[in-house]
Amino acid sequence: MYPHERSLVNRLKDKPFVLFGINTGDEKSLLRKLINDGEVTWPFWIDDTGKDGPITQQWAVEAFPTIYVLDAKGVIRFKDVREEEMDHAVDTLLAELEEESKRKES
Amino acid sequence: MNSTNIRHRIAAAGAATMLIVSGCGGGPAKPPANAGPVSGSGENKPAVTANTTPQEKFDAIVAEREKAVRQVQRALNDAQTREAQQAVLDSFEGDTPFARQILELVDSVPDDPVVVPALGWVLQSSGKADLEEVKDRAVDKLIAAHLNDPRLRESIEGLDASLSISAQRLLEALAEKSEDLPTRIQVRMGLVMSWKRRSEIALQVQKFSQDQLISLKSNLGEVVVESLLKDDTTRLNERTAEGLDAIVAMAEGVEGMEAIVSSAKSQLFALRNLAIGATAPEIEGRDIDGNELKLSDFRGRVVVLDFWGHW
Repeated sequence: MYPHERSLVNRLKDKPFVLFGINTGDEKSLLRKLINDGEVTWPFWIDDTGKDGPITQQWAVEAFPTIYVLDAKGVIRFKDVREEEMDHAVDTLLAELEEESKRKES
Repeated sequence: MNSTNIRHRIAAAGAATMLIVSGCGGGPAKPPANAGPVSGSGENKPAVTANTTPQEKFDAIVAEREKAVRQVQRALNDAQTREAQQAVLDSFEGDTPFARQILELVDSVPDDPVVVPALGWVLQSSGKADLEEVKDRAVDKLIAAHLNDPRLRESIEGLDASLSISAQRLLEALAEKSEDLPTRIQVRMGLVMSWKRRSEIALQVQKFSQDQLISLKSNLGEVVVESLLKDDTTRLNERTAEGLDAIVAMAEGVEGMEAIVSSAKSQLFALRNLAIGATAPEIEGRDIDGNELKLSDFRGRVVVLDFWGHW
């Protein structure tokens, strides 16, 4: 999963896009290593070490990874999309955003 | 929930088809979840004679059924090709003939203690499409005379995972009419969770290809698959939310129901605020360096949220 997400983040680095992780259950030293090794190249919340934190609980996460894709207004638009499906969801929403800003300009 | 549990659950989730099949007692070759008081009884049973008790007759039918399943399993192992395996499966009627025999037995001894576990067995069984009609008759009998039988809950344990329409009807009757409040609450919770699960499954099945549908029908029966294809998932989700509201109202303050109340509340939050089309709840917290990070600061950008653990 890391390589796919890295390539998505890299491909869209100049677009109005951000990928956030919400980590639960890992030691900070391991997470630090993942960053230093260049595995994880995106920002993330530390929810809790060792158990489900408040964010994970509020979002009723039952399996990992759980994915949500939000549009630019913060509305949940896709859930549990993986790999190409995730790319497609993000590209769709980016195209929608671009379309909207064009309409506003004209 | 610790991380071991989490991993276990991911493994358990599996692909959509697996989820569906495992939730329904599996294909015809798999024994029902509850084989009743007979499980473990061997093949060396005495032959059924005129003066055997109803319990012994029930045990004998279940033993026959286990024998039939073993024969099919052997035939499947011996089958050399996929086609041959399919032919074996096609010729096997699953639990249906045995479920019919049990209904006949129940009809002949309507007041015997074996009735409740025997009808429970019928509801737990799996087979081809016409089994649904047999189950329907079993449910009629249970609703008519046995809703408050103390052995009923045990006999139908796990039935809320079934996609059978008649099983749903029994659980609805129990949730409405049981004399015992905790039973009404617990059964209703199981029922509401089954609607949620059903909505998730229907959403998957409605995206299935023709080939996938055909293989699903041979597992679950035409009736169940057709009903999944017709399900209105939006409506199911609304019903789930209404049901959860009702559970909170019924169970709040009832001793021993605290876990159900808290689970119902968090499910309600998820349905109302985490559904597609809902505005995402705020996320506030800190990153690994202790810097504040707030989701709403990123409006104007497309956002992927990835709940993950490396473990």
